[in-house]
Amino acid sequence: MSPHDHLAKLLLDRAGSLKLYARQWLDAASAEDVLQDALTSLLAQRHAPTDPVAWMYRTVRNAAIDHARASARRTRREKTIATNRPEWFTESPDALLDAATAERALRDLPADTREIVILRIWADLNFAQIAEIAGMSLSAAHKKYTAALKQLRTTLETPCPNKTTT
Amino acid sequence: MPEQNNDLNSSDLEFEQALRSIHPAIAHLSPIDASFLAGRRSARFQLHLWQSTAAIILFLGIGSHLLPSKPATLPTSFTPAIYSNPDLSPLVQPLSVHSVLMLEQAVQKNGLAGLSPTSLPDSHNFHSKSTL
Repeated sequence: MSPHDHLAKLLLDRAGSLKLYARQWLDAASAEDVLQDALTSLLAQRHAPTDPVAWMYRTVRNAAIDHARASARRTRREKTIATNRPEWFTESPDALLDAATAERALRDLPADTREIVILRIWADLNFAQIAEIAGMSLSAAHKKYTAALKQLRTTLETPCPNKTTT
Repeated sequence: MPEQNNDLNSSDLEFEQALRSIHPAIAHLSPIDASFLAGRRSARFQLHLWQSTAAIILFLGIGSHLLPSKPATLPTSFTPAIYSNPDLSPLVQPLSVHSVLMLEQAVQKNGLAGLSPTSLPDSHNFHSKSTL
């Protein structure tokens, strides 16, 4: 397997997490476009990046932010539609938390904090990588993450008043 | 796992695991399309390099044909050397005494007596009977 094939496999294995990360700025279709571009850019690299995982998230982040700026009006319109249906996660019977509730809780977080949570939980990055990608200090990333966990626990562990038990 | 895990208590770690149990939505990517585009993108530079080189060579070729050629400059103190081959030069041959010019001159000078004796071939009488 060539180095490029290895990198491509690495990206494809993390496609779901990368898409979730890109969704912080984009709709589903645009997020996939950005991922496809990132995959193309990765394969076109003459030399493999030193930290390919961090490189992928950083590339997706930059591309997603650029894309979001370019189509800010369309994104706002589609974001309104997207908030009405859970799209970030798939419903799974073995999930310990409700996907739609988790998505709503994540959406309530500030954007920079939500980014850290996604990179930590679903991208499985360490805080050094997260701090580098998000452009903040290590301690700031850790502090925001701890606060976000507390907020998410409060939200997700509170029973939903609309949920009826049978 | 990161080194900052020490700062998280057991309930935080348990909550992390609960969050991880939710799977992100599937992304539909096409590695084949990506490979094709990556190949085309990486070959773009070489293609442009070849196109530019070919264009420059073509431009220079056309330019060299269109520009007038520079005339050869002669030195100011140039003296042409004329070469003559005596062997090839025409020789002035003395005119024959039987030439028209010489005969005219001889008649003007001495009259008919001035004409040189002419040796004519012997003439025989020719009779038609001799042929029969």
